Amino acid sequence: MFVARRDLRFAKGRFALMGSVVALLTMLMVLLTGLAAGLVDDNISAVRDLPADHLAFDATTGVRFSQSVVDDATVATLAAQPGVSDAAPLGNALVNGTGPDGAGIDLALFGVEPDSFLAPTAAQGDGLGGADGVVISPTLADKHDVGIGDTIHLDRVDADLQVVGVLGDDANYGHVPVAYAPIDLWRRVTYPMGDEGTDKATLVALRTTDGFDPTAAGSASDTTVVTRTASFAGSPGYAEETGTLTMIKCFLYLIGAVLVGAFFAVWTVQRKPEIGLLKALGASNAYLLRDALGQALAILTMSALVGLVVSLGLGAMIPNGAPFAFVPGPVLLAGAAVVALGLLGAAMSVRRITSVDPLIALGGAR
Amino acid sequence: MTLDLTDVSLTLGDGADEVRALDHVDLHVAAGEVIAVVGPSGSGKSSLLAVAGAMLTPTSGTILVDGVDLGAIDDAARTRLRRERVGFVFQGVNLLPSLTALEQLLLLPHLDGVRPATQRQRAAELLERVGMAHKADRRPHELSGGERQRVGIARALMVRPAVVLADEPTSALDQARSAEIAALLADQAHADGVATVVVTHDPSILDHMDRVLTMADGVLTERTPATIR
Ligand SMILES: Nc1ncnc2c1ncn2[C@@H]1O[C@H](COP(=O)(O)OP(=O)(O)OP(=O)(O)O)[C@@H](O)[C@H]1O
Ligand SMILES: [Mg+2]
Repeated sequence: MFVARRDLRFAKGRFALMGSVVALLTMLMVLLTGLAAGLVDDNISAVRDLPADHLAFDATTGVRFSQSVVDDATVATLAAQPGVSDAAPLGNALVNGTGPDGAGIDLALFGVEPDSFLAPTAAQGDGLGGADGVVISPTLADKHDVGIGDTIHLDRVDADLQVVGVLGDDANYGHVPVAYAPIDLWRRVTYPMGDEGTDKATLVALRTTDGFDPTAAGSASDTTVVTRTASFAGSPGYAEETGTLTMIKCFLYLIGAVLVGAFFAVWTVQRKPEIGLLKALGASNAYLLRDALGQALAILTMSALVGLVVSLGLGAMIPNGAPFAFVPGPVLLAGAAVVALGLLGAAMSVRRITSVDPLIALGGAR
Repeated sequence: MTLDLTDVSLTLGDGADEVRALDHVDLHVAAGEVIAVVGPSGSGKSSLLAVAGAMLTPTSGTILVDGVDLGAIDDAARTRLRRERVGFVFQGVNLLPSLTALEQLLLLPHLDGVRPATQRQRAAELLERVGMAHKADRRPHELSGGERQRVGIARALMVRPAVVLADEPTSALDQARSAEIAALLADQAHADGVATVVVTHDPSILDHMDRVLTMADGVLTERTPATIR
């Protein structure tokens, strides 16, 4: 990097310009990554944190939280399948009600059997027990100022949810906070017409061991069995949200690679006489490529680091409650991807170093 | 440390633009000999240096640099030979804009994998000899044309080459300085046994040359002493 290092210093204005573009791009990537993680949290964190490894949905509806219906018979059939150590019904419904202050509240009601492995552990107050008692996500407690002892009234079905406990971690589903209710309460709310629906639930949550075969278990019980992670896509809007963000990120990576590539293409062309001279002086292609890529790597890394630091600062200023979460892994990965793709773009451009003729160093028309 | 060209021809361009830049050239420069090549513009002088310096492959003929046949080695070996055995002074002076005068010289050992720090002494000495020691830390844009030319000459001597090929090394210098530079090249050639070819238009430096050859339309001929000047 004898020459490359000195070029960086000598043409620092030009490199700073490119560097700031890369830094801004990194910031955008980091913020988008935070937004993506935040949206995912907002959408399916309650499903993600379920203590089950597989979920079984009604085979006719497939993996759709809003449509699937199973009954106790399905739970029993699945419980008897090889490799299934536990099976429990889970009811899932989006409801709206009124808080103690009269304000409207949207929430996701998760109905579970209070003695099953799905029963939530309350960080404050009590767990599920009483007929009307619910355990709520701290996000509900924070956002709507609902606390233990308060009542949430569900107007449409004229039911009362008694808050008895608050979960330790945020639990959201479909961008609204989750309230865990005993499955009987859930059934009353979801099927208000009486006895007809008393043993129904949305899906069956499973805890399995090595010998478990999802396909076999599914066909035996007339369900579609997927891993917990695969079920996320069954949440309304999840695929669209993550798909959109992934597409934006892909475009940004592409733009980054093209921009860096374009910069180094222009830089390489401008430097052609110097490259010819270096070759005339006996620099090999390998040496010149190493020099140029080292230079690109240095400027990319520095800029990405600056972008990372600035965006972490910005992220700290984002108000609580916005769908935004900093997960170090994906954030670092985004930074590394900006550098890697930038380097790829640079590599495409500096390739043409190899075709520069040392003869141009002799000057004249050559 | 010799340079031998035997029956070398070079055709440039193609079709109607075809130019015979070198026409059956024979040139033998002994170790420690410094020769001048003079001739009109476009006669093939730079082409001669290009083939001798392994930058251009002749259409026919044999070139030996320090006994190594350029036609018998591959591109990588030619690049290496350029780096280690050939000192070039370019016609258009050719310095790297981001490097100081001293660094222009230190670059060469660096290209060869030698830690530049160990070569500082020699680089400083060479700059001293071309009268540039006091401007060692200046970059090319802070130097005059003549000063740049002197740095270029110091650079050509940096790696202790077997062959020095200088293309108009004194074109931007005044007479006194030209004579000094010619003397420097000649001294270096005599002292270290370097085979040196100087292409020039400058009659004032011919006194320092052991031989003078004339290039015309790609044909190289020896001048008899009587025809010099
Ligand atoms: N790439 C090229 N293609 C075609 N012809 C070329 C090329 N390069 C040089 N020539 C021609 O080759 C001939 C020799 O050129 P050369 O540069 O060796 O001349 P020169 O003696 O160094 O001239 P000057 O004193 O002006 O530097 C000229 O006629 C020139 O036009
Ligand atoms: Mg010339």
